[in-house]
Amino acid sequence: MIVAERKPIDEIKGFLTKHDRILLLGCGTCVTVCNAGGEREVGMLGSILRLAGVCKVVEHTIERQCDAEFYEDVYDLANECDAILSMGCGVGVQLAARLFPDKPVYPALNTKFMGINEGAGEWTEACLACGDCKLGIFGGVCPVAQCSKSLANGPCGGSEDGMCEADPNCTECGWQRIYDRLKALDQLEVLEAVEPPRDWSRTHDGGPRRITRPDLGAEE
Amino acid sequence: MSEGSPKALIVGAGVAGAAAALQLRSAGLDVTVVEREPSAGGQVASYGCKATDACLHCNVCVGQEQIARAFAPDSGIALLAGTQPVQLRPGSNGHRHSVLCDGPVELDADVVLLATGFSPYQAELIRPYGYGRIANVLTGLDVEHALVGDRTMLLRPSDSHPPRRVAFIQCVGSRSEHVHRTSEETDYCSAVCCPYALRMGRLLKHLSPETSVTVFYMDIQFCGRSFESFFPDCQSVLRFVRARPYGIQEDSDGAIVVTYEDQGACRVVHEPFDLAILSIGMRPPPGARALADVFGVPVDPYGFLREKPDAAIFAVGACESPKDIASSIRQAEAVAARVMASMESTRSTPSTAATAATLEEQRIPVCRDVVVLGGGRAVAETALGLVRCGLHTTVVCAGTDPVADSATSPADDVITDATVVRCRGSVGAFELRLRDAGGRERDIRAGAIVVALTDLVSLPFSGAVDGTVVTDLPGLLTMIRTDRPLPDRVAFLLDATAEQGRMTDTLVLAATRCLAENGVPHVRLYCRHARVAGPHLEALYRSARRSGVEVLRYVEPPLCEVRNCEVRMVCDDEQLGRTVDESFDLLVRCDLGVSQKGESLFDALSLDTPLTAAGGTRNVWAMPCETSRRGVFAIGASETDADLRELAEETSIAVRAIQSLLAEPAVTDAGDAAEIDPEKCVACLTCVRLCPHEAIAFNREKETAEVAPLACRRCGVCASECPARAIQLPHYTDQGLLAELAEASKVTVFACENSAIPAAAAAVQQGNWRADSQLIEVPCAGKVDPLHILAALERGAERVLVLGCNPESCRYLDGSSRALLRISRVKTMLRDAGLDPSRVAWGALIATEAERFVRMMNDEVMPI
Repeated sequence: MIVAERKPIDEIKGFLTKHDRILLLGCGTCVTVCNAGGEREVGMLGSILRLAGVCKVVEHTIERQCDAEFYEDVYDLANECDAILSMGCGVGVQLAARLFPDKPVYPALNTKFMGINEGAGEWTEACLACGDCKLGIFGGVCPVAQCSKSLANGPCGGSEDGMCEADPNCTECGWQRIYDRLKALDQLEVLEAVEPPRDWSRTHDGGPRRITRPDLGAEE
Repeated sequence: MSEGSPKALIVGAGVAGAAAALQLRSAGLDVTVVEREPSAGGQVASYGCKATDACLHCNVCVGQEQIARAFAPDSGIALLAGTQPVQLRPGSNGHRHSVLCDGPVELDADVVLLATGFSPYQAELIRPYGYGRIANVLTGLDVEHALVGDRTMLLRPSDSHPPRRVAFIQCVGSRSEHVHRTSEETDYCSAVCCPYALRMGRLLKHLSPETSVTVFYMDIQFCGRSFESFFPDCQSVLRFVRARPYGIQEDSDGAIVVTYEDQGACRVVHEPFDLAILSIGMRPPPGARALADVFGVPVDPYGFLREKPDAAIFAVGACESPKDIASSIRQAEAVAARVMASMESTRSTPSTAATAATLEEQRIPVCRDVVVLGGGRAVAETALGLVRCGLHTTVVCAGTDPVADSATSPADDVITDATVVRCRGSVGAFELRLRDAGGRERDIRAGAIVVALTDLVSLPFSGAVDGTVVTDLPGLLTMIRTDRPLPDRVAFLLDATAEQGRMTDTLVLAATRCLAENGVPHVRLYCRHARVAGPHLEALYRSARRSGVEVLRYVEPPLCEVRNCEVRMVCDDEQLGRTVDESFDLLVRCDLGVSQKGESLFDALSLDTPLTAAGGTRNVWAMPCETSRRGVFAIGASETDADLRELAEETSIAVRAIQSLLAEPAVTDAGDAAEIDPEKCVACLTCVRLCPHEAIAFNREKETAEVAPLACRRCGVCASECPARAIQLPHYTDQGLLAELAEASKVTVFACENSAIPAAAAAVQQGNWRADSQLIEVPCAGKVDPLHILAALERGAERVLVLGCNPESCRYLDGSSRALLRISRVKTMLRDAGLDPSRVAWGALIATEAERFVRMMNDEVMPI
């Protein structure tokens, strides 16, 4: 799931100083699940902005902000506002901006990562969307996301007691976890092979990516 | 009630009388309570809450709630105040007894419960302590009365200043013969004084951190089920001195001087304090002998009342023997269960909340099978009780348990060598997954589950490994039982691995005395404290001492060295003031604890409040045998501090509760459980994870979270956290609550119905109410929605208060704690937006703290 968290209120206030009436738009999917931008959080932020006298706030939450069809109700509401403050992830903010080219669209959230919900109120980063998944080789532990240096042929040797030298208190060494998993699977010989350099063109480094499926009606 | 209902007469309207009345009334009996005083409540009505920033489990609020509920105008329980029974006659009108009371009034009764409470020990009888002569000497009861209504720092009677140095003196009027030349027989432990004094001491330190609190003690008794974590916290803020002060005198400059012997240093100490609090014990109630004569019941050697079950006359609460609030309630419920079982009364009202006419009741089918898990004698006794009620009972043991063996077990089925992997479902429809030794799994269904972990095991002691000269308590008991020859020098070691309670101490004292009386010349018990807080335990302790058993109290466990068929034990004795180095032929390590399987069993059942030997708090609102999950009952939770009677009481209560729950194939639900809108649910699992009662599960077919109506406690904690706002609690909907938020109420108070609402009602009666404020009732502080708090501010409130129960004494387990977290977040957001965070505040109180409520309204005490 995409995991995001709300920006500092100061920063949000900063976007809105020139505006009189905004549409605070929530999203009912990922950001609801991670308690950052759903109907409840829209209500919280809306109240706070009104109490602080920042501007008038109209609140509305749609099913998802990454599909244009769900914006059907939004057009009328947006017409009466001079800006949109999106509580969706970065995807939602961008689609909203595309659909409302004449309205400033601001992000209320920082989109952080795709991650695992470890339990109530805790999420950890799992996937960086590198586009060339090698989890099958590394025992299901991602060297790109779980290693602080994203090494393809780790470990770097700096870890101590299984903790990463970059953050010994909180971050586990990704390569220690890879080693432990492969050992449990009796596949340690995998580590003897040298993993060639990654084709980063498949990652964002090659520009914004696009997927098309002709069998679903899209043109190549 | 109809003419044919059996009638119960209860003498005494204190906590035990109230608890018994509620149980008997709910079973359909016609209940009358006669009370000597002009009003109900007994002693507990004038006690105060001891919470610091969290509940300290004194149970005062629980006791007061029983009383309030039993004697509310609509309880259906008749109360005759200012009345005492004077004569018992054979009954007429088809009833067993006829009781003549002064008034005069004649009452029919089929069962009589004596619940007349206790008399506080009269501290003035111990003249050297100066109670009644010296102003700054108080009793524990005086402190209770000072704390009721509000928890403010105690002041010295002489000058109304807060004391800087406070001394608690334990065992005043308890555990003494004629030491102070009193004529009263008080050589028993009153059991409640260590618990109340330590809690009062903690509260005083919390209210005034610069005050020093010293506790003069002989042995510290267990203070409830969380003792293992409670006592170290006490040791870090209170000063403990093992001494029994001789006397107290007033100094010329207003101080009071406590005189005691520092045994280790062999000197007399005169230490100045500002205030002394005498921890007085419990004596038999006033008029006990006269009452015993009226009803023909025996009294024990100390004057406490006994029962006469053949005549259906029982004694419950402190009038039966000294005990605390929780034990009084448990005993009252157990006796009520026995009474109902003997009457074969199957009338029961499955408990669901009263409803408005608009909600639809539904009949929910329940499985009427019961599963009993665990080990030990209570498993068999519980199974027997359930089978007698006609309920199909399966016993599941982790190993093989001779008591639960299928050939001799009273249960319908016995499954051995099986562990519980998980427990899905909810009351009336549990699904237990079991795994056998071979790894095969099977599911069994049950309407109710009992966990009875009464097979205590010996705890290992790292300092000495078993061998020919080291054994454990069961090992020694076997030696005694099989007439094995015993050596000349036997040492017993207690409390070395975990603090041991009354159960273990009873076995150990009996064993040591047995050895001494049977000619073993040298028997010594090494322990931290002698645990004697039960009927006859002090007498057992003394008789063991008289037979020659030595008791050495240590601070650090002895060093044990096994060599040449001897055990050498080296230990500092603070009473002798030197190191004691002696060798023994046999060392018996006595510590017991819940078997390891117990801890994992609670995890598998997803129960809150771990009840392991490691301690952990136990919510005071869990009534006897209840756990966090409705339909799952626990017996033996007191572990080594339980006694056999307590286990029997818990068994009766659990069996009765299950019988009532599963009396019919379907249970009526009032229809007011929390409701989840499947369209809005985003399957985030927030509510599934947070429900403290495990009442919400994710329904994979319907792709939505779903509330099990019978398990839902209607606290609303889920509704106020759902990120999609998909959950509503009938009677407390968003729409309804927002409509209540009037315009321009300067002070809006979200008030928990269990604490703040009754406190507010009392405040209003006292004439203290602000016209510019508004009270919004919620079932629990955990129902308070941060969105409603902000809405109140938007609609013109200057201040929004959320008032609820102390965290850890929330009726819904963690509603209060969650409310606190949410309020902290709201305050942070306000502050980050440049607004004043103190406009939103949280306060904790109990139902009888009307003064505290008023101070909170006036912003005079808002901890957070």
